[in-house]
Amino acid sequence: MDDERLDALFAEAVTVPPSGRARWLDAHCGDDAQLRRELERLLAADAIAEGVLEHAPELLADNMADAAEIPQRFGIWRVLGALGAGGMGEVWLAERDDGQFRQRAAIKQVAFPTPGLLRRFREERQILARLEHPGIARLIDGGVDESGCPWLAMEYVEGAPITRWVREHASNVRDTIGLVLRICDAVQFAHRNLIVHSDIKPSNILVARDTPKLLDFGIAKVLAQDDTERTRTMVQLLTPDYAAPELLAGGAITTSVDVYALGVLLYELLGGSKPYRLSALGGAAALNSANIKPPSAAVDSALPDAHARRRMLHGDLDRIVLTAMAQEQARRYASVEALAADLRNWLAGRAINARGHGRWYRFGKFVSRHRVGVAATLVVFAVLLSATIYSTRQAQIARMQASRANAVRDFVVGVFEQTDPDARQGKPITAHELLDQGDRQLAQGSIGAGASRTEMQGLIGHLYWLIGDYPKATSLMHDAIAHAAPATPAEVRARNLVYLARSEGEKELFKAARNHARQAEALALRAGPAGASAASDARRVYANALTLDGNAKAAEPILRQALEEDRARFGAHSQAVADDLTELARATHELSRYDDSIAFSRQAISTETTLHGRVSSQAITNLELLASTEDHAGDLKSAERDLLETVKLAAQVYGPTHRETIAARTDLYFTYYREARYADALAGHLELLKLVDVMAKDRPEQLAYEWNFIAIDYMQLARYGEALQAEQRSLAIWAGIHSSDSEYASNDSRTNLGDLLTRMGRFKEAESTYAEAIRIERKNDPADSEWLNRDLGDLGNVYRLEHRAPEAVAIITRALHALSPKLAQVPVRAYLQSSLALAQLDAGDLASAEISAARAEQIGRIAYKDAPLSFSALQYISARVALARNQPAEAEPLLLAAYAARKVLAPNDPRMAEVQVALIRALELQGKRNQVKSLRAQVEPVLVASRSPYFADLRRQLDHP
Amino acid sequence: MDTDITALVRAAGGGDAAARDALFALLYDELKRIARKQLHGASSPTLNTTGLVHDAYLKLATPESLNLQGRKHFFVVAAKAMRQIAIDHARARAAGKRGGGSVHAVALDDAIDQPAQAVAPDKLLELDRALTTLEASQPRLSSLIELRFFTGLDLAEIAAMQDVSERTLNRDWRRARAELYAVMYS
Repeated sequence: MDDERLDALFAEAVTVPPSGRARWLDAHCGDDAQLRRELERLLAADAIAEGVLEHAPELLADNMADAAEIPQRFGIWRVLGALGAGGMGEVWLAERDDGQFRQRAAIKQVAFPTPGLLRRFREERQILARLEHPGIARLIDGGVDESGCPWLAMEYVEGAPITRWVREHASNVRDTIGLVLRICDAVQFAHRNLIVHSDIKPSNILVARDTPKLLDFGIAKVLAQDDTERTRTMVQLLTPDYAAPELLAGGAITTSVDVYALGVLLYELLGGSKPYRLSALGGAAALNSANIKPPSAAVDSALPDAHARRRMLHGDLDRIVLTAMAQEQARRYASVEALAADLRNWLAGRAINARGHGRWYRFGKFVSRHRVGVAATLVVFAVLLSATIYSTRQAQIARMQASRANAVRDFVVGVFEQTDPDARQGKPITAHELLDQGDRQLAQGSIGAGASRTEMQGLIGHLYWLIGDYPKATSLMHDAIAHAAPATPAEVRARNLVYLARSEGEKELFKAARNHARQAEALALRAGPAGASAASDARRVYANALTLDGNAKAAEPILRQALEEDRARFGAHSQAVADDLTELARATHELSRYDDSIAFSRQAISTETTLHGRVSSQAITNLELLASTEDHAGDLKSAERDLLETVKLAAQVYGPTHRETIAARTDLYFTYYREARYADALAGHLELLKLVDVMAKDRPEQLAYEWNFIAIDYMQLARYGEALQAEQRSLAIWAGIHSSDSEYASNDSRTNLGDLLTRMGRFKEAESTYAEAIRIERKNDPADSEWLNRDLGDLGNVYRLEHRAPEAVAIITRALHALSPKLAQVPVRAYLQSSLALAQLDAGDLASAEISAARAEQIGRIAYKDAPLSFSALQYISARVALARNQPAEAEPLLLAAYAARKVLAPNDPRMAEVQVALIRALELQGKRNQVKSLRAQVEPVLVASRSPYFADLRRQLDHP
Repeated sequence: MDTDITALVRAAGGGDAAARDALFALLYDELKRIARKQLHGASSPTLNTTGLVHDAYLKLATPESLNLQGRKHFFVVAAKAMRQIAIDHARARAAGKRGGGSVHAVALDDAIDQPAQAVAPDKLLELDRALTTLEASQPRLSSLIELRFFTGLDLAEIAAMQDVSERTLNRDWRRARAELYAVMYS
């Protein structure tokens, strides 16, 4: 048979539709029966072979999946067993077997040895071997096996992957960020050595003895190939979930891919879940920032602190994480350093640098601020000036140092002289510009030489630190220490080490801080009297690092001894003694010994006052610490007094519009509010409003917060018209702010508006306001959230007031069940439980109401411990239950207590009216007519004057019990 | 590895049986080693196996060392070597696992959808027998199947290597596939 003819006919036949084939075969085969049979056979086979047999390679792989063997040894390493297999190749646990010493290593062997890989491997091995950092698993050894396949022996780390570690240790947000910062340090170190990890992911970060260690540094780069096809293969082997988009697209490997991966890691560690699964999105092309929920919206509800975590992440942390994992490289943090700096800003309560509207601050209970390191030109001025004074004083110690003091003074003056006023067009110079000027002059060598240059370097580094330019500060300090002029006296070296240690303490590198502080102390002691001040500072910095590291117990005896010695050396009225006292106050505060802490703070303040007068930034720091301790100890009165003083001083030191001042005032007014001093709080906020109004253009959120505060103060004063106006203004401002979190942030104002409308008796409007608030909470919060369920309870209360008691019972019961069981004895549960009791009472279910009221009271005893006004709601409910049971004698004392607590309220406040009405009823039932008369005279006009349906109800209760 | 590969491939292509055997042996060892490593290291047993022969090529040859003709010979021999490796392994597994009984005629793509353990080595052996049968009557088609199956090259790559149009090769492939299927299941 003619095969070529068969070929041609078959090719044509397959293009004919099956239905027409018989006719086609008739036409083309004629009498050739054999040809026809052949064609029919082939066509039949073809019909079922379609799409079959195309996948032999997979079939091969399946068949040979068990073909692997375990090698015996690599060089001097004897293999103990398999550790696992990753995308890059096999990993074995091996033991050193050359009789030298016992050592274990994880051996990685690469799956695809190609000539390019071998070359790169040889080049990179040298660099990797030099990468020594406590946070990086070291490369110990490497070689090529007999078949030409390269292998690497890495430091064997026995630890848990960071995700598991964080989960198992229930690490909180701050601790987790601390852990990630340590990873950032390691990555930064590698980047400075021009090594990119490019495959950062949880399985590459093991935590052993509380220390995170990065594995496989630079390995991905070793594996990277020049030719694009192989790069694509390599990328397939990376974990796509953590790989930056440009990496997946085959782009160049830069330090930016590590920033991205750290962002994804943070997301996962903070929220408990990955931001996305690449496969689910159908590859890199489908990825864009819009697909990624902010981490606060992705918090795993199974986490024990989910609701608090969500609030904590919301805003700044969301922004930090999303900036780190921005899809476009240009929008990402420029370096790991910048990411770390913002994380530290967050930890310290400072403004963050990530794009988006700058953080102002959240008020009152949502604010947690640690005000260390104030970015103010003033501080820099003060330190520069005191540097000259300090040096002049030093000069008195020895003639030799006089020239140094002069040099320092010349330098400071020079910095100011070099500042060109014309170029600044009348704008005041910023601290940063001032320092840049100094730094430039130092670099040019135009002033300062030898020891005075080293001294200035350290000082400028320290100042950069104070204004928050950490990279610059760190490099200057390190430079000053590493390249100190040979003639630099020990006390200057010690001083620079103290600066470094202090900065490390703030960076939460406590161990490094302690080490450097110890070194500084030793150096300073060698310098004799000239080093005394540095030695004292070094000891204090050491103790501070202990306190902040959670070891205040060890810090305290060191500080007590330091205090004694500093008193003897410098006198009772010295800066050293004042600083020792401040540190002691901090340490005892951490140990919850509030009385001791308050005593130390007071001594510190009086010492500071003797030294600097009443007005100084140190006094502010001390007063804030004192007020916070008093607040913790439950002494609101004293906290209030000291906050008042803080506000006064801050206004003088920083100016009235500085955020320090405004923050202190907000704290003060919040204390008023908690003391039920609403008129004072209102007066304060109205004053603050004038200041904030001026800055409204730059900081609209702050104005929105301010109006909200004013609204709730008015509401508590029962000045509802003004309250309504204020709250509507707040919401209008929020509506004009178009940021990712403005809707969520505005919910405080919205729920307050709901409360207000309820108090006013405008129930329908209250209903729709709460419904909107609930919709927004649902979008952002999990079902067991405190905020969401409180709003549901609020809505239930409105139903009750609308005489829809069964619906009220249903929705409040649901909220109570939904509320996270972790929130056992908190105000929100007391509130829901008491609201339920009232609703059940109105629904006529007295037995259930009694149980609910008892439960509410039990929770309230703890949740409302220091809040008599809130607790009065529970007393009122128990009294109502007693009245319903016809036990007026039991109700009376409860109502009298509630009445006393509510005396602070305005007469037309419904809470005031309702307790009076109930009391009248209790008294009437007992026949105590005289007391009833005066009470009726008080409450009746109020009830008549109001248009609220609730007051009409109360009136009915009064007239027809 | 050294540049002897150029000479070896040229000799094998020119009909030197000894050179051909040497090339086959070299490729057999190399492919087996790469397959072992790759399969062990891979997170899923099907990852990147299409690149096996390609990897061997990158390892043994450089882009300059082989011309078009040389590459063709290289891949033809490599496909045979790969087939041999697969068959040797399937035989070893079949010997270990099969307790007699008949071979079921299951379409290969059914098997492909199943997890690794479910794929009987019989399928490969069956494929091998069919290829051997086809080799006797249609060496051109069986060689095409070998190349397609065992090297992971796609039809466009094979067409470029054999210097024929893709259209022609598609036609050949369809015929080859039908022939093979006819041998296996008729």
